[in-house]
Amino acid sequence: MWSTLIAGRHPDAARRMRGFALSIGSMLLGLTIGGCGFNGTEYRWQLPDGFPTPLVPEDNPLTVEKIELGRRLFYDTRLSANARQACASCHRQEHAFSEPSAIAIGSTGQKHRRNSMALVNVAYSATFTWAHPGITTLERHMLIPLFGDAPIEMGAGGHEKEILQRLKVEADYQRLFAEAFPFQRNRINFDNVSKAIASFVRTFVSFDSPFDRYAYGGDDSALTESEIRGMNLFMSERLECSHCHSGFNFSQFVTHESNAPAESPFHVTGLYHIEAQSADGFDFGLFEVTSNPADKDRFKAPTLRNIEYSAPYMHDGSLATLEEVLDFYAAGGREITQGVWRGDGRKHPAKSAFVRGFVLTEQEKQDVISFLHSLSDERFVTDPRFGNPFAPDRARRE
Amino acid sequence: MVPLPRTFRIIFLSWLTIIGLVACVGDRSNSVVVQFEMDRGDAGNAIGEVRDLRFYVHDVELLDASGQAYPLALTALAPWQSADLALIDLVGQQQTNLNTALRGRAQGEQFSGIRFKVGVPFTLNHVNLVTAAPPLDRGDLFWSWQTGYKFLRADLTDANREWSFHLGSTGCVSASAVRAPDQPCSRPNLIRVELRGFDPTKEPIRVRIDELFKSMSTLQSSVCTGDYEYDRGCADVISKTGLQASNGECMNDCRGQRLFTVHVSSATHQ
Ligand code: HEC
Ligand code: HEC
Repeated sequence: MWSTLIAGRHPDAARRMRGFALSIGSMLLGLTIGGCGFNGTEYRWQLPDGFPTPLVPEDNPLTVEKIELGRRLFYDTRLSANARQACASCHRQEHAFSEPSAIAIGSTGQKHRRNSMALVNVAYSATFTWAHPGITTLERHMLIPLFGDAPIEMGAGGHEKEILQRLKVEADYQRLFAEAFPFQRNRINFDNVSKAIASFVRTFVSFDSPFDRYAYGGDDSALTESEIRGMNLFMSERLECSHCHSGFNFSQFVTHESNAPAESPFHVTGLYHIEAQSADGFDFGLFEVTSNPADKDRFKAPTLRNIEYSAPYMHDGSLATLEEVLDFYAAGGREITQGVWRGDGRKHPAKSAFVRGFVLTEQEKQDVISFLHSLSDERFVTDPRFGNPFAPDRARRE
Repeated sequence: MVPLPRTFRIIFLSWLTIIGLVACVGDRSNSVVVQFEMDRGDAGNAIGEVRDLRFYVHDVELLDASGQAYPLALTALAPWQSADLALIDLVGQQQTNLNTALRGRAQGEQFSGIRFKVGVPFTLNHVNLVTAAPPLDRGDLFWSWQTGYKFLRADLTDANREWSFHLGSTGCVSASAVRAPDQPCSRPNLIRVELRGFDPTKEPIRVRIDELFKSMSTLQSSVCTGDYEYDRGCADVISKTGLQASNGECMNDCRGQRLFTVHVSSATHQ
């Protein structure tokens, strides 16, 4: 990756880098074989032919043991201070790891301003959350739900010892941590917790929708006539959807082994354009991170895979159905006529040129919706490997 | 001196011959770098932010004073170049993403001009994005199997709005958006560029963003991204490429193109 990146600018430097990396690599290999021995079972991605392998941070290689530990932690409510909430409370498998409510509610009852995001192919994401250019690894993102206090999600901050103690006393966790992080002392710590959960979430890969069978599998019968018409519309200049929801993940935010760092623009879709000078609690998206006025109301275009399962939609869950989303784009944005957030999103000065509005017949509208449904991967939302390990009763520990 | 065994001597001699041959046949070409540079011309500050300025280049030839053409063999340098195609990125993200030059080898020594095509050749243009090798592995430069890639993508802003010009082939016929056409598209829209009177290995080629900006900002519609013939936002922009919107071919070898120039903005273009 690095060598290719540099190669674009300095071929010689890249060659030297590669040589250097090779010698370091072989030294490390020697050390591993000669010295420490077994570090876990390497995870094998099960990707359809030709699909690129996601990037994995060098300091957290993906192993079967870490994934297994991460799976337990993801579903364990004892990871939150008051033992009420797990990652899985807001990220539910049957909803493509989102939840069917407009906004998330944290473990202490605090309201989040945002909708719980679906976790689909996040291993390919270049940045995380609805609008943050700086969170570029899952490991780093994990700290937000665990320790964030605005709003409190799992509220682990200040309760670290207590939470770790809960894990330390359990024989199961002692074994799982030992398998996942051999050759470490004090291995039950939050660094390893986040590495393990990130490893589990990284395996949430979904490429088995009817659309995939048609597009990548070459199966002409995998889509209906209506779905094909909808797909053609989705990818047309008239609707422009694929300008922002582009590439194999229907999102602009894709990185993987073989490509350059993704261009990561955040967009104004015209969902809001508040008239008020200030509005307490209003979510300005990217602006809240960068403080650059030009970034007001910019959000990332999330993947549309499994979108059928993850209603309601948009960063604040303010559109209930896919029909509403389509009407929103057809109108070229949304006008809100009442309340503190009133204003005409359609006239937002920074609105993307690709949200121009369009007119669809009833049939065409139906076709686009059918197409969006053809992005559903039933296997993904039922795959037992991603399910609750605390089964047999599958009850969450709440 | 101990005499070497016969076989050794033969091997040794044949090595010498091979090395000699490689030295005189193989390496007549020189390593060449052709730089591009974004030029805001006299539109200067009116153009707000240039969010994206990328284009594909292929079939590059360097020209000497006599008009003799030397093909530039592109060096495969992922993620920006394959042996057939290069992607130039003059804006990038966070600076790290820039790629402002073509790199390769060419024979000849003194150059005073260059010829190249902007776009992706038909045989490479309608591939499966997922398995596409660099520099074609770019989701945000890909429309669909049917229409292929955005040959040139320019996204600009001024104080009030965003402008976009995305050029690629149109009139591509296939069973659906995710099936490739068998026949070339009816409007290929490949721009041919020829620039003379400068040494392309020493002076950068200027990419005149001001020309795009001027034609885009005078129009109501702020995008020109496909329907080059009938979209009202397109007529003026497309004229800057030297292409004819009606058939997607160069008019007069695209000699009227104004996007790529040499020397400072005020110089006349070829
Ligand atoms: C209170 C509900 C809640 C809990 C608990 C929660 N999340 Fe989230 N999650 C959210 C919300 C809301 C967002 C969007 C955050 C934002 O945009 O600021 C999100 C975003 C994410 C994302 C970013 C996805 C993307 O595509 O950018 C990941 C990954 C994620 N959560 C994983 C987890 C993990 C792992 C845990 C457990 C450690 C967890 N979440 C706990 C509500 C929750
Ligand atoms: C200018 C870029 C852009 C275009 C064009 C665009 N989208 Fe989006 N899309 C976004 C962004 C950004 C969001 C998130 C907005 C937010 O949460 O405020 C989004 C959100 C969505 C969502 C909700 C996703 C979720 O998980 O809640 C759906 C569904 C969607 N878009 C479908 C479409 C369709 C269908 C089209 C074409 C008619 C389209 N989009 C065109 C950028 C775009």
